Amino acid sequence: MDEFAPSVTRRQLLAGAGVATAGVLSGCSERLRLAAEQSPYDQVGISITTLPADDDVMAAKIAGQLAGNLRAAGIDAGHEPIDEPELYRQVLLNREYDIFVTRHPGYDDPDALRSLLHSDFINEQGWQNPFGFSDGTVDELLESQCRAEGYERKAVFDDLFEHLDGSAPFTAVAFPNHLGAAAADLELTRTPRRPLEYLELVARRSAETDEESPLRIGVVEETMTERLNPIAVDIGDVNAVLELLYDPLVRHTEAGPVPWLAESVDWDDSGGSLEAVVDLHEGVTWHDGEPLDAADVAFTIRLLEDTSLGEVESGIPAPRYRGRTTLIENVRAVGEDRVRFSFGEHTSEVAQRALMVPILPEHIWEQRTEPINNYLTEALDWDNEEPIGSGLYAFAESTSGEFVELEPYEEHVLHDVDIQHHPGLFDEVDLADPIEFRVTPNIGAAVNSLVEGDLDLVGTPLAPEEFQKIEDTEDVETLTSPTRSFYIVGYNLKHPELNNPRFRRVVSQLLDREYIVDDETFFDGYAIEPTAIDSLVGLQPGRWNFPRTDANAQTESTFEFPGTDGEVDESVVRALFEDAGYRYDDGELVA
Amino acid sequence: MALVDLVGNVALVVVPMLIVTSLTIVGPRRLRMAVRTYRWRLAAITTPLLLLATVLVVRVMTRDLLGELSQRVVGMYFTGSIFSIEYVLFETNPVVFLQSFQTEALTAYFAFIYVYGYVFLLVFPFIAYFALSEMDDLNTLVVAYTANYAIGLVLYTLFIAYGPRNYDPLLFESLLYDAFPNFGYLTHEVNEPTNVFPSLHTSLSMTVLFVAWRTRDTYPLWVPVSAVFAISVVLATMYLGIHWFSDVVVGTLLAFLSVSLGRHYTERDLDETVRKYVRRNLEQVRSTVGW
Repeated sequence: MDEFAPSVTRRQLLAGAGVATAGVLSGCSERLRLAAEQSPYDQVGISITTLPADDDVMAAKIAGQLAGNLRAAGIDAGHEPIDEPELYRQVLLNREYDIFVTRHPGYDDPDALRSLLHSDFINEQGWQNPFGFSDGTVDELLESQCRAEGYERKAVFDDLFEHLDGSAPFTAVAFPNHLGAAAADLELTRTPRRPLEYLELVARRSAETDEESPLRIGVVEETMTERLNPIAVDIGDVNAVLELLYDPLVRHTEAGPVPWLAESVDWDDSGGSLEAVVDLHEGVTWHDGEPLDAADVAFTIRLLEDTSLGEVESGIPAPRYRGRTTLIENVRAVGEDRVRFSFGEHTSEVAQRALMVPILPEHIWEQRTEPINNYLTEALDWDNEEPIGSGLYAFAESTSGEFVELEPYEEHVLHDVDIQHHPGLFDEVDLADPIEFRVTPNIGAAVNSLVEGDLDLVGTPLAPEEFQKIEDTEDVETLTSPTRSFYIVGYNLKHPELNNPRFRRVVSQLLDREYIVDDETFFDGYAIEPTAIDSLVGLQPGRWNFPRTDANAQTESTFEFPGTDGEVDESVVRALFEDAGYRYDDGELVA
Repeated sequence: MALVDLVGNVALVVVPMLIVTSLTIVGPRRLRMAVRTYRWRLAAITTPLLLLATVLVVRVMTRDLLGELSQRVVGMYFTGSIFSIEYVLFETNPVVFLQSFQTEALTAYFAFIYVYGYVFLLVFPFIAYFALSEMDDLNTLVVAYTANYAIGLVLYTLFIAYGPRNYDPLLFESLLYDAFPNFGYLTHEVNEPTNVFPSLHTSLSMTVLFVAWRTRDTYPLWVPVSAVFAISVVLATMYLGIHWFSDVVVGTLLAFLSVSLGRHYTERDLDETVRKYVRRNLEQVRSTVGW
């Protein structure tokens, strides 16, 4: 904006007067006029949007360090903490930012990169290309991996990683371990986060005592007691609750996909197009007693694709599960319990992701399709404070800012029928105890309550310092487990400099990942450092085995931090920017 | 629940402090008199008390509404600017400087001051000025409190700012909640983490100190006592990483403004009473003389 500001400096005025005089006196006015002209260059300014330390201490630290290193590079940089819902609104819905630093939930499958980077999603909300990135080669590779499988598909990803090579519109900083704490008598080895882990824990606990007592989980996330909308993206980490309440057709587990509401899934690609016939278990019901049928499944997919159900011209897709629903070409309820999906040329390896979205009750959500404006429907705005799902746990009650309680749903069909390939999984399983998520004002207060015996476990991740403080506490077990989530630094390509891949490549190198992962002021070793080109775009190290990338990972380090112990060496970093075509004026990086 | 425990716990500490200070500074005779003649005293401060109550109720009621108005419409994200201004002004940020003296004892002292000392400092003047023969100082105090809260509310809506501990945990430590996380139950109830600019802890404490200076002839001992508490509160807000130096400066200015408003209110009120008195007497004279 500065470029358009009509600003006449004193220097210009004087020089102007000088020019007039000189013009009369001699012929060298040209040089004076040029000297008086305003410089076409301005200092590059970058603002970093992140969370306050209360919400995410690591994001705040990473943003602080990045801002300091950018300043050392002569950039006018600073960071601004913004609370979580508002950050997601600004970054994921409105794209009003230069750089953001937050925690990304991680990928269930490498195909998640498609909705993050494909230009088809450039005008969508949520974790759908929030950068404004558009690259023909990337688009092509992301499309062709959907049509491939096995080794061939992984090779396509190798091409993608090599093509992006450090100039992606975002970069991963660290994959944190989940640090947790629980009462020692629960005998846990890791903090439960997926629904199956909760179910296993409650079953074990219920079997040990006859007495019914709630499993009490301390969380700092206050929105959990106020907003439980499974298709909105502006809320923090409430997935643990949502996944207990809402069942998918097929559940993603560590042992691979398990048919859940589906009794069976039959894939068929003989007709040139991939089809899946899904048969539901007989007698599945919603928590309000209504039957769950094929129509609910078809409705859910239609709702996710357009939450206005055709009311708004170009549709208002749900900002979650976009990568999954866009795999589906067509979905049709065939009778009460059968749904037929067609996936076009996609392979089942990719397409099965689409069957893992939570199924929503049509009789409740069909009344919520009213558009509020051109980008928001009631379905997305709705708090859904008393959710009706079909999971093994049902919503019982909640008090805003204090707690949310779930109770076992005894009518659940899985108590009576077998899961394909997993017979008897829920036979004889006694899920008697309610589950209660209790809000505490900060993580330290949650840990105090745990130590005093007022909580059974802490759900919100602990910072390394808090974790170490209670390592030797009696009756408390500290738990650590790797996660696929990662700290992400994302760039808005509307910013003139961040739009330049060479500039981004330098910025992505300004974080000392090794230091951040190891140093005691950061993760103190409780994280994994992304080094290879796949993990630098968020693929959990060691999980996917991409043939070329992972074979070379040991030898080929893509980034080299231009400094030591987290802080950049000014002359080295300035040389990097100069190599990328930038110049310095009075120590300021200008463009 | 932890909140109820904590409120009881605050009362348990502050009430004895109030009793001891009241007996020493105000004296039993004045206290006895005040209790005996509480009616007219209450009547004399009704208006400012109602004003204060209204502002406090509005503050609680509009918490969500103002929060949204602030974030979506009028508010300006201000934390980065505060940091930049102080970055230019100081070689070492004042909060970093104060935190460099960190010891366990000092943290305990400032945490005590921030929670208990602050409540004591704000409540004691009510007792002290209630026991005086005129309610002017109490009126000034209550109007000044009201102005602090009201103006603070407007500034919080306009400026969305987090404290140092929330801004950059690498530079600033969150000493209060690291050492005493359970205080979070209390502060979480009464405050928003974005209500930082200006520091109401500072402005209300300085208000008490300014009014204490005005009443130095009546309560000479209260001046040094309130000065120690008020300055400790101001230092505590920064030492604990809750407020910036800028919040404290603007908080002090707000205190100055609020006390001026309080005095203006009381003196104007006084003028009116005098005028009424004169008018009534004049009328009497008129009727007697038969003008």
